[in-house]
Amino acid sequence: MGWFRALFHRRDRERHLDSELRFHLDLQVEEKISAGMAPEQARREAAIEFGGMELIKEECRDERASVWFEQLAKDFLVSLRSLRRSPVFSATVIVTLAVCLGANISIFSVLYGLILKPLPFHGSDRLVEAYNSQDRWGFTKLPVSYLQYLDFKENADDFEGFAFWKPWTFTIGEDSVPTRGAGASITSDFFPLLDVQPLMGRFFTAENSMPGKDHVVVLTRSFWETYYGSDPAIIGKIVRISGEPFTIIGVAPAEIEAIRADAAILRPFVWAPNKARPPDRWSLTNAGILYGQLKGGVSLSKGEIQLMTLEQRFYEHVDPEIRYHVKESGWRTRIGAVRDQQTGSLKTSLSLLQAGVLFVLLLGCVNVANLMLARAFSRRPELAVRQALGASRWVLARQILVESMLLASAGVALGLALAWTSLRVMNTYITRIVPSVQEISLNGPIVILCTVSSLVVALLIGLLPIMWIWRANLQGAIHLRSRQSSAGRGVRAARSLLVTAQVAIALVLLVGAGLLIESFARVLAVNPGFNAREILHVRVAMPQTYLGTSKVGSTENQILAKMAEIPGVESISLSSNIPVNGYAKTYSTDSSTQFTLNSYPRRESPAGKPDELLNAFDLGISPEFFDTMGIRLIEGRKFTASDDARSPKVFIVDRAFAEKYFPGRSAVGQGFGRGGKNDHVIVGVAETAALNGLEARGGMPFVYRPLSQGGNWHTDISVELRTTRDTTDILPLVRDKLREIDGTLPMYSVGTLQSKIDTLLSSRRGVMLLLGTYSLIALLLSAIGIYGMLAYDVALRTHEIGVRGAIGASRRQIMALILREGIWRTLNGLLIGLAGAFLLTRFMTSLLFEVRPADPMAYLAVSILLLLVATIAGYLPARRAANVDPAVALRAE
Amino acid sequence: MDAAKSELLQGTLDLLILKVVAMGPIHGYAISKRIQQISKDVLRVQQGSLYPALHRLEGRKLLQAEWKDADSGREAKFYSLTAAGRKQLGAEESDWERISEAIGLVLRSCQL
Repeated sequence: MGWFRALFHRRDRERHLDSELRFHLDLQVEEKISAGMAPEQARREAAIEFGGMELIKEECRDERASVWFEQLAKDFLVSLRSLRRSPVFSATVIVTLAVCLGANISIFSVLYGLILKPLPFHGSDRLVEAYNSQDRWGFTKLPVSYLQYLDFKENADDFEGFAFWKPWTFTIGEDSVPTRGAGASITSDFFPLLDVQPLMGRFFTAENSMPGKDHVVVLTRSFWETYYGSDPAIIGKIVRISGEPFTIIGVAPAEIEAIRADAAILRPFVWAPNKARPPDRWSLTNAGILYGQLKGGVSLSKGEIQLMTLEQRFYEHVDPEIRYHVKESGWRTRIGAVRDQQTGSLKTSLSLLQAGVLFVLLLGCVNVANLMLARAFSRRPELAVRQALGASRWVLARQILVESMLLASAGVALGLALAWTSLRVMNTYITRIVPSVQEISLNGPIVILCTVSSLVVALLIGLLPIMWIWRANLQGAIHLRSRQSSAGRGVRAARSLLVTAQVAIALVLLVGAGLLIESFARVLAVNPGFNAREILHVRVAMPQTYLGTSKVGSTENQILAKMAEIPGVESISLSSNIPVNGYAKTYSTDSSTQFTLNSYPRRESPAGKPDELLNAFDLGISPEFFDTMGIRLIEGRKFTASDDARSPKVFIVDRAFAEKYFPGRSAVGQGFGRGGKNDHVIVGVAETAALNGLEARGGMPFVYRPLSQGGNWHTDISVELRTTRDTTDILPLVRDKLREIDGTLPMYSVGTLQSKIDTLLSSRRGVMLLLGTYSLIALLLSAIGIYGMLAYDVALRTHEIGVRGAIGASRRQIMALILREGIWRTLNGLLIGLAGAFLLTRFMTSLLFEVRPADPMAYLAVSILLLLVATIAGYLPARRAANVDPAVALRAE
Repeated sequence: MDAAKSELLQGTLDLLILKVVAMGPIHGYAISKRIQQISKDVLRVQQGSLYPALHRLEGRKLLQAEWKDADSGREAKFYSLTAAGRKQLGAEESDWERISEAIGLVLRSCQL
C-alpha cells in the first residue's frame, strides 16, 4: 500500500525542501568565506543574494501543484477516452449506480420529510397531540372534546399550554363557482403555542371565540397564494363563506401547514360557557384535535398520567352508568408526538422500503465492483504494456481511481434526476395517503449527504481493482494472456462469494414483495358486497341557511327527482356519508364525510345492569339505497317513503351486526333503548358490505336509518347514481341538473365508488409497487452478476474446456459443467436468503392481509423464479463454452 | 549582458538543467555553478528560478531525486535524469538546434 502512504508525505516533503535550499545557502556562505570574506558578512550577503527563502519555497510548491493539476486533467481525458471505448461497461455501471442511488435518495427523502424531519416550530419535540381511546372496543384514536380542552388548559400544569383544532368544511365562492374546502375552527392560543407570527395582518384573540365576534378568518399562506393570487390588499376584505360574511384579518406563515397541510381557512372556535354540558365530554360532542406543549423536562408518559388523573377526577362525579361504560370501553386519554400522530402509520412501510432500497444499493455496488474487477482483469495486457513503458503503479492506480470517480459522478447525477422524478410521482401518492402532510422535495442536506456517501462508495469500489493491480504481477500478463494467474483465482473466489450474497439479498427482497403481492391479491378478491364500478358518487353541500328548515328535505327530494331524469341513470339514492370511506382503527375528526360511530343501547338488558351498548357505524339512507348499491336484503323489509319523521324510528342492520349482537336468532323485531316501546325497531337485515374498504373485514358493523328521520341537519349529502355510462359523459349532466335545482350548491368528492375503494388501497398499492420494482431490479442485478461470473469463468477456462472437448466431452456435458457452477452458487444464495427472509419478514406482519410472513407459497414461488432466472443467466456463457473449438482453444496458448 | 543573466526563457532553463543533470547526479548548488562556469559567467541562474524549475521537472518525472552525502559530508538532494527526462532532453536539444539554426539563417540573410 505504498501509494497510500504517499498521500501523507507532505510533512516530509516540506522538510526536504527546506534542507535542500538551506544546503545551497550554506555552500554560498562557504564560498564567500573561502574567498576571504568575514563569516558574518558572508552570511548576510549570501542571504541577500539568495532572496526570499519562503518565496522560493512557495514557488516550488506551486510548480508541484500545477504539475499535479496537469496530470489530473490528463488522467481525466485518458479516462474519458477509455470509458468511451467501452460504452456497454460504462453505461451498465452508470445506470446501475443511478438506479440504486436514485431509489435510495427518493425513499430517504420521503422518510426524512415524513418521519425524521422535525416540525418547524420552537420546541417542536415537546409538541404533542392528545386523543382518547377505547381499546376494549377497538378504537385506538378518538377525538378530544372541547370540555377536556378547557379542563386540561386550566389544570394540567405539566404543559405549557393547549390549543384546540376542530376540522371544518366550508363553501366559498357561492356566487360564481361554489367550491368546497377544508379548514378548521381553532382556539386563539393555537398561534402562541406554535410560537408563530402572522405573515400579514393579525391572528385571533380570545375575544373572537365569543359568539358575535367570531366572523373573522385567517388564511393559510398556500390558500392566500392559490385562491387569492397573493393579493397584498387582502386584509380587511369581507368574504362570504358558507353563506356568511367573514372578515379576513390575517395570513398565517407557511410553517403552520406542517401541522395539517390540508387546511385552507382558519376561523375562531366558538363556545358559550353557559352552554357547556358535562355529558359533552363523554359523548365527544363538539370534539376535535387537541394540541399541547409539554414543559421542558416533562416526559410523554408523565404528561399522559397527568391528563389521565384529570379524566379520572371528572368521571368520579358522573352518572354511574356512564362510569360503567367508561370502564367497559377501556377509556383512556393519551398523548403522542405530533409527528408520530401524523405519519406514524407510514413508518413501517417506509422503513421496509428503505431497507429494500439499501439492499438494492448493496446489490448494485457488488455488481459494479464485479464489473470493475473484470475490467481491470481484462485490461491486464494494456496495463502491463503501459507499466513496461515506464508508468508506475501509482500512475495506473490514479487513473483507475479517476475512472471510477467519473463513473460515480455520472451515476450520482443521473440518480439525482431519477430521484427528483420519482419524488414527483410519489408526492401524488403520499398526499392521497396522508392528506395532512406537505409535499416532499429534494432537500439540500440530504442531496449533499447522499452525494458524498455515494462518492465514498465509488471510491471504495474503485480501490478494489487498484488493490489488485498493486499486487498483481502485470509483467506476467504480457506472456500468459489466458493462463490463470494467482490474482485471477483470488478474483474468481471473491466474485463467486459476491454472487452468492447477491442471490441471497435478491431472494429476501423478492419474498417481501411476493408476500405484499399475495396480500394485495387477497384484498382485491374481497367482494365489496355492492356494485362499486357502476356507481357514480357526488357529494353536495347544503347552504348554511337551509339547516334546520324543511329546505334540506325538499332539496334532497329535488335531487332524487331531477337526477333520475338523466338518461342512463338506472337508479339513484342518497346517504348521509360517502358510502365508501376509510376508517381503519382511528377515528378521523372530519365528521362530515367519515362515518360516525354510534352506540345503541340494547333494549333487553338484564334488570339492575346498565344498558349494554351496541357499537356500530351509523348511515342515514334514502329508501332506494340498497337497490342502487346492489346490496342484498337478507331478512325483513327495506325502508319506504312512509318511514318519515312522524312514524316510529326504524333501523336496518347489516349481517355482521345481527350475528354479533343477536347470535342464533333473528334481529328483525328487536330494538334499541329501554322501556319496550314499539319504537327504535330493527325492520331488516342487509348483507354486509365493505363500506369502509376492502381491508376492513371483521371491523365495525353498520346500522342504517332512514335519512328522513334524521331531522333537517345534513350539512352535506351524498348522491349515488347507478349507471353504465362513462363518468366523463354523465358528469356535466349531473352538474347541469344541480344548477337547475340551486345554483349555490357546490358539488365535490366526485368519482365512482370503485375509485374510492382504490384510493383506500393506494397506500398498499404504493408500497407493493415500489417493493416489487426494487425486487425486480434486485433480480436483474443478480442475474447480471451470475452472468458476469460465469462468462468470466468460461473465458478463464477456455483452455480446460478445450482439453475436455478434445478428449471427447459432448456439448451437453460442457454446458452442464458451466450451468452447474451457476446453479450451485444460486442454491447456496437461496438457502441463505430463505433463512434471512424467514427472519426478516416477520417485521412486515402489519402490512400483510390474510397472509402469514412464513407463507410457504411465496417462498416456493420466489425460489423457483430465482432458479429460473439464474439458469437463463447461465445459459449464454454455457453456450459459449459449448461452442469452444478445442483446436482453437489449445492453440490460444 | 545583465539582461541575459536574469531573463532566461523558461524552456531554455529547463533545457540547460536537463543537459547539466545528464552528466551525472548533481545537486542544485552545483547545477547553478556548472551553468555559470560552462557559460563563462554569462548565464547566472538565480535560486528563485532554479528550484521551482527543478521541482517542476521532478514533478513531471523528467528528473528523479535522491538524498546522499555530498563532498562536504552533508546530505544533499542529488538530481538525475529519468528515462523520460533523457528522451525529453534529446527532443529539446534537436528542437533548440533547429530553431537556433533557423534564427541564424534569418539573421545572416538579413545582413546581406
